[in-house]
Amino acid sequence: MKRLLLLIFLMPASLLLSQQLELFGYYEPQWMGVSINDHFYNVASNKLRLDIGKQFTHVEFGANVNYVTYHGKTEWHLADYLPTHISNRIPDMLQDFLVFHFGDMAQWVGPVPMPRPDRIYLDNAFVKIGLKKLDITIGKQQLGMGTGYTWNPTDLFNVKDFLDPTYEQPGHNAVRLEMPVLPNLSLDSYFAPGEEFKNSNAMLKLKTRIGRFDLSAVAVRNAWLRTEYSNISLLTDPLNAVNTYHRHLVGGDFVGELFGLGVWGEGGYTFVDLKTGAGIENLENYWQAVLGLDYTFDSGLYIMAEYYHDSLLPGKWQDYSLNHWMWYLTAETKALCRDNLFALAQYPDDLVTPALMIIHSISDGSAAIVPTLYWTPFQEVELTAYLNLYTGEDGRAYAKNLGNGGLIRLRVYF
Amino acid sequence: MKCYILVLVLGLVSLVKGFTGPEIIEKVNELMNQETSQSTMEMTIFTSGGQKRTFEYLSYSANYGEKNLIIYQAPARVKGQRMLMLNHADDIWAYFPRTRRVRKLATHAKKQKFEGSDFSNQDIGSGDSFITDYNPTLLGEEKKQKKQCYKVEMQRVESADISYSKLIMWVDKQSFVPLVIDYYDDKIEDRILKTLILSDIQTIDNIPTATRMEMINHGDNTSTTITLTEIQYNIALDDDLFTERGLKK
Repeated sequence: MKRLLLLIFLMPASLLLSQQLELFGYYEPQWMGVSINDHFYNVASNKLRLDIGKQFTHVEFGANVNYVTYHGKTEWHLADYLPTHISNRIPDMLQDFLVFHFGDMAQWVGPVPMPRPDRIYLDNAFVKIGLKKLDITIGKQQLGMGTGYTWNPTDLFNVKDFLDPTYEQPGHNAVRLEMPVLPNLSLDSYFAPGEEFKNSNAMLKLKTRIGRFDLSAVAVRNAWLRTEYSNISLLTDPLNAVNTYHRHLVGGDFVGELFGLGVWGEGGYTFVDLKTGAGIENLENYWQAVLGLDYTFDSGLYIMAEYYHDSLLPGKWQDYSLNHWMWYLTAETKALCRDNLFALAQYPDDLVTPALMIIHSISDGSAAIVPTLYWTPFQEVELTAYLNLYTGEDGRAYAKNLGNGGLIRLRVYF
Repeated sequence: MKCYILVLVLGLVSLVKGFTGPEIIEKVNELMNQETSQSTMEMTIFTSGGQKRTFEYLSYSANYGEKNLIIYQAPARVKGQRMLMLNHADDIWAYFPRTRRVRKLATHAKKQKFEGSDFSNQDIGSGDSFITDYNPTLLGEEKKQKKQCYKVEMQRVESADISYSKLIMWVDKQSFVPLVIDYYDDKIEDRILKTLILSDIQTIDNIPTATRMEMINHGDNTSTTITLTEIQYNIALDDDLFTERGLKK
């Protein structure tokens, strides 16, 4: 794999030029600071994303190679983020299980003996064939779904970071078919093969427009990886800690306009096949919904609010278990608590956009306040800076022990 | 040839018949919204701090301005971003190539700045907004850019969700190209928010076309210039271009 990437890097410029390949991307240094348990930690990263693309009459090729180096504190103990009453009960033998490393193992969940702080990966690499009535995309590609801004219940592949919901999501290996059926009706579908055929993922979506609304109905089949953090006997054999459940989501989304306000919604009911996993506690069929609205004032001030409900998650902070916390921290679930509210206000100017984001747990009353600044100091340079200030008490979804801090990210496009 | 005859007839008719405000704006609308068009534009923003930002984009328009598609070409920061506006920009979709996502925006997004410029989305893609959102009244005639112009006041229709209370437009009597438009504040009476100056008028495909547009923002002390580097009128455009599917191509 790395040899292939090296070859791409070393491909002579003349060859690229002769093929008229488009070469673009960005370099992104980033610094993040966070205060945990009376320590202020730094973690910095440098990311180089190199995109290659070529458009033929009916065929498009696209790919990007990412090289990321991590610096500072690259090893994090997730127990530091847990409420005291939960972290105190974790036996010593399980502490290693909760260590998280940036780098090659960043997406791994569980005990990792070797931290490797640099990461190189081919993210999107796909070919898109455009026929008269059918578009076929084959390869590693982004499969973002749904109309939600911060949460997407119908997107079973990705979990957005509420501090940074518009950041690019990773690519997924799949075949995607998109075809218009009628003038106002189209079909979108994908198939993402799993290690075993039975663990493959598939999606079917019908999209239409009625009046000022775009609507869709969606059905998704998904192999759902869930880690059992509560059962000590399973943790003695880490392979048994990760369970694959089959789940089926039936739902839809809409986006449109009511009384001058932008409105959107997304949701679905998920059937979980409990026979396929190893019997994780509190797992059952569940439903999720997102409702959002936004408005732009004449002055340019933009406001937005979004509500998210997940019936599988606890409605009271006393019910947040080790599993709930770990699923949340490792992005196995989209939130920790049942009811969440996200609000955003921003005032775009020609170069600077100040913004304020607030995320609030309706379930436990905690909140995080995120003042943000977007600045384009130069034509090709974008700077993002935010502070994340958690206000909740220990044990709540947005508790202070999650670590107040901030992030500064510079992105230079080429 | 048809266009020559049209311009000739318009000229002759205007000599013998005085136009009303609505008739003048109707002709402006017809002129500015050809059946189809394809253009390359360069937009330069002069910020309040004296900095200069340049954007390049392709613009496609169909069905007499009802459908618009904008594809950013430069700078690299926005390259590949697309904006599709249908129903005279009442329906807007934005496409972001790095996330490969399409997001539908509500009508109020028309009030947002077009890439931080002094043009808002409604200034760029609202097609027949002059007809549907305003009641025009002819105030008289004045000279602008050494040309005799109709001076038309356009009061906002009560139901229109537009950021401006009224416009004052100076329309060249010969070509029906608007040369100057003052945009008035919604909140403070008789306060001019922005002024659009159209100049460098060339006849392209027999259609008088302003190839330079400068929007001056009096409040922010900034300005934005759009220059048409290439334009073709009434060419065949694939309908698929103006769909969500076309947006992602």
